[in-house]
Amino acid sequence: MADDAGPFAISSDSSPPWALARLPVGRHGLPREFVEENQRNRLMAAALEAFATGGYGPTSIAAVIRLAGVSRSTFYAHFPDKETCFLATYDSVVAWLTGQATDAADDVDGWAHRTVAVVDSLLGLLDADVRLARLCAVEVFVAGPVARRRHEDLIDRLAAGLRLGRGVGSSGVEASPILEPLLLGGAVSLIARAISGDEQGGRLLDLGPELSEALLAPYLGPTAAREFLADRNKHSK
Amino acid sequence: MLRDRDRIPARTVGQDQRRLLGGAASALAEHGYAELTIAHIVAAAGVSRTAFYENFVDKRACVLAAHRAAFGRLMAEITRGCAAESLWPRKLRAAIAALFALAAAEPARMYLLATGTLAADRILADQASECTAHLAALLREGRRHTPRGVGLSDLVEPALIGGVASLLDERLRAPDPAQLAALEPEVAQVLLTPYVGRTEAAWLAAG
Repeated sequence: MADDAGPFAISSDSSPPWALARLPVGRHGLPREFVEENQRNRLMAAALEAFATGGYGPTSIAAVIRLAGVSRSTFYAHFPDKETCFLATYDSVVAWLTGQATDAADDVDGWAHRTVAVVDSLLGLLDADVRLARLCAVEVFVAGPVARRRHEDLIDRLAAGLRLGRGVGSSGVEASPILEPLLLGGAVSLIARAISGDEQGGRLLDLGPELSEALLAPYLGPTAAREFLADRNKHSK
Repeated sequence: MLRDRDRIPARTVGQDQRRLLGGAASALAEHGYAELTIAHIVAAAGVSRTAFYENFVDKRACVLAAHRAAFGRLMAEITRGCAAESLWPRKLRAAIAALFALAAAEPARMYLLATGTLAADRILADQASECTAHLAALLREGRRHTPRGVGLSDLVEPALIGGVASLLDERLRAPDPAQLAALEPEVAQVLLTPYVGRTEAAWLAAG
């Protein structure tokens, strides 16, 4: 399953996480591109672990290469510094998350159903690997101004999807232009708060129903949003 | 032997502390928490490193104190703004006006309250969460004053407060007074809508 492969599989389809396995020692006759991509993926997998558990600020390049099991010169062959390594890791994680969420909403008809599908998909993925949530909802804010802009780009892309709701319900038609970034910024802060205590899973999944309601209500109206979700829940059982 | 600190009059220590709190806020806005150093703080505050250690044990203690002071300042302004109004929707509108007036006058302090960069430090994150919860509880009061508030999702208030913080976090890194002034009625409209509906919210927001 694509889900099992995580963001650092070399091929985006049904690869197992073999991309993270170490290459055979010595001469192995593998193509150079493969070796390099494998190294880069291993570095990003290690960076995800190091930044998410140790925090971007305190984590050193030494910690990343130790986890990746590569040499310092291999690190610098791929990334000029820690920030670039973070950005590459963040971009991969976001591309994978948004790809999965897009797939989850692909065959779903109707803006409201698609919104709920995206919320459930993203929270499910973040809950299954809390490191991804930590990277996208906490560490991205401390990893420098470029990382912040990437986060804002992501919010803009998600906002464009949410904004389609203005054409659906009567409530959102003339809403303020800041409605979507405000709702999504709020959602990110709720995710950060949900993972800030113990690192156990499940809390992000609990967030799902109410978060969906909070995102739908400005467009459908609070009562219609609640009824829509109750109805959807009834049919999915 | 008389040590240096013993010679400093109490009044000066208080002044140093105030300068350090202001310095911590502006240095944080410039460097972010991860990169922030005590050297940045004392340079922004215009006090000595010795004065820093007379007031705080480390960077985090100083930022915690600066954050607490900024939140105290915000609550005082909100309280003052609300006192002039009697109806809840108008109190909320006044609170938002107070927030934006403070953001325009002291952008670094309000950035300190809004920024997500504190989330990376567990203790700072806890203090920031408490402040969010406090503001969310104030906003939740609206449910008792308006019929529309009944049955709203429990996440509405924390999501709205977190959303406003994220917008201010973005805008206050390079504050532009005209842009901030334009943001105020937009934020007011979004915060008022769940409680009073779209039409009344638009009317109150513009007022």
